[in-house]
Amino acid sequence: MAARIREMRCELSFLKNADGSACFSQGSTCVWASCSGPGDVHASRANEEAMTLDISYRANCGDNKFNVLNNIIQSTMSKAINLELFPHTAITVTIHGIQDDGSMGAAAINSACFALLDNGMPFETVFCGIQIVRVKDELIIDPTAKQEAASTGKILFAACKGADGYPEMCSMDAIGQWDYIQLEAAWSLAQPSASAIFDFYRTVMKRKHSVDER
Amino acid sequence: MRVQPVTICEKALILEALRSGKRFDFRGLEEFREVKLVVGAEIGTAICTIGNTKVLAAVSAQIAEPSSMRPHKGVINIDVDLSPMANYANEHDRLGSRGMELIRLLELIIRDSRCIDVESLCIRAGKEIWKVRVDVRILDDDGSLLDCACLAAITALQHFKRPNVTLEPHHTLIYSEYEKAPVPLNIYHMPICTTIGLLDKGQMVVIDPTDKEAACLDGSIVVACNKRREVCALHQSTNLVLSTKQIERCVKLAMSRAEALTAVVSDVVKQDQRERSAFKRPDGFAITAPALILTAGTVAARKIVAPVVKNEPDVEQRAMYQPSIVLNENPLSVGSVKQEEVDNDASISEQVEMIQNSVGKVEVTETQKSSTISNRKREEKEVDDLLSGLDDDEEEVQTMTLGAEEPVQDVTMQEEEEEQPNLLLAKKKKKK
Repeated sequence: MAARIREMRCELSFLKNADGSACFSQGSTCVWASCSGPGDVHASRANEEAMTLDISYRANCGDNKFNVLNNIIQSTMSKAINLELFPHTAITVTIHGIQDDGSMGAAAINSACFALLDNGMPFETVFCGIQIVRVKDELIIDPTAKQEAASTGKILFAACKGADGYPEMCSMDAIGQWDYIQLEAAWSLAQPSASAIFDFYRTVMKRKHSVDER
Repeated sequence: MRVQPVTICEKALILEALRSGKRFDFRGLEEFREVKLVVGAEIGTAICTIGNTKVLAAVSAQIAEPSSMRPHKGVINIDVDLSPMANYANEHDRLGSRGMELIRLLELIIRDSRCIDVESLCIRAGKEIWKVRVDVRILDDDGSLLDCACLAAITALQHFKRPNVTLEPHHTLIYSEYEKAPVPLNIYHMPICTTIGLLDKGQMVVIDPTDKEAACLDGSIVVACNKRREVCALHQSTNLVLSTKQIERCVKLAMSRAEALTAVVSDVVKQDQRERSAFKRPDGFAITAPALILTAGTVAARKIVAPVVKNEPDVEQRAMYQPSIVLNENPLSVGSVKQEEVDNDASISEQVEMIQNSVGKVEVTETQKSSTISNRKREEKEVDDLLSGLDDDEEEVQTMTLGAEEPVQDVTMQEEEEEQPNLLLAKKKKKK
């Protein structure tokens, strides 16, 4: 099993207008995410019980009205954030896939979480995305674009940190034929990498909130 | 979400500074912001930043059927995405008036200035042409949006290479980049935009205005020109009346800018080509974006140690005591003292005194009303009740004192009523 996630880099609050922003790159996949809110919302979309989520993943080319990733990010986020804290408001999350070199879904979820962390949203639990592909009955974690193109199956896990500190599965998007054993193997592969990503969150946020001693 | 407009005093301050030739980012009036250009690992992508404005442009091509009017000409489409990332007033998938203006102007500059050879994009006349699509994604908006978008689009077009094709009698073969080297577009010239803000009916020019400055200015003029000193497009945003001299001055400024930026664009593209031809895999935005575009090198150089946070429990305690401080500060208390500083007995005795005082004041109001029980006795009873209450609980004291507060308020009300005739008199005097 090739269990290796590519190098991750992150830069926070670099956009002028957005409330929270993150530039996240995983290998040479690069994603920019921004989040603004909670702010006022159009009456037609307002929810008196909870905050309205407005999430859009935008690829480099073409029309971006609908994207597969919007759903999984939305469902993950509504679990990770207590939306009932901010009724009658909306939060806008925009994710630009700047450069695609595989596992874009995972990078999009991670960058969304970073943008929300940067905005200072109250989290119930942080979340991260892990992409796994199957190439010739071999599971590859965090694939490049080439590996993704050669794959026969693709899973995108959205994991959140459970109460005991271990990653729990939050939502999942699988393409291709998967039997239960393979699925279980994929999840067992995803778990340690999710912990690694959570550690990365911690170091980045620590760096952001620390005060230079000099 | 809505954006707050620039406040009047802020506007006045910015205008005052501009009129004295100063700007908030320490530039001169005729000074540009720094331009940064990065091309991506994928072919035909570029990010351009001017100050805080950031724009990504991506070029893609596909084979399509030409229109019957122009059977042997390729098509160039321009799409602008003004997402909430650029400005939270924007909405997803909805172009405001600003976005529409941007699309029209980009079409004017890139398509209508005929900088790209569209005839070479034809594969089979009337049957197959290349449809080139330029996607402009606005990532951050801080003025001079058109300059930045135009520069990004031009760089991406320069960087772009379409797949090579060969014609067979009945079909067309499209080669991947590994089989035959892709072909770059034929670009005749590079139109470069310059936004020039106008102040005082065009008497003053403010070059490359930021978002806030643009909101204070009277209008702006956009000049697109190339390094051959040709004006490709001219657009004025408001209906100011400008003289030829003023426009000529603006064009002159734009010309020098265009020459400088054309060199930058071709440098960046050539550098990338050199790296690619040496089989060096370009990192594109992954590494260069944080290093070049963003706050440069924040990750690498600094060593950061988190400070030790000590007094968190103290903060909580203070929060718990806060209501008691409020109690002491009520209007009845004589010289507010913090609860923590005084020991319990002293505070209780003080409160008793306070209550007695307040009861003494109540007397004034009660005597005015006819009551059957003698007031003095009733008050004494009340005080006794209060004293017994004091020993049990602090909270009860709180409520009791609050109760005693009310009649005193009555007194002040009456005083106000008494004062009112005086005021009326005063008013009458004034009238006289």
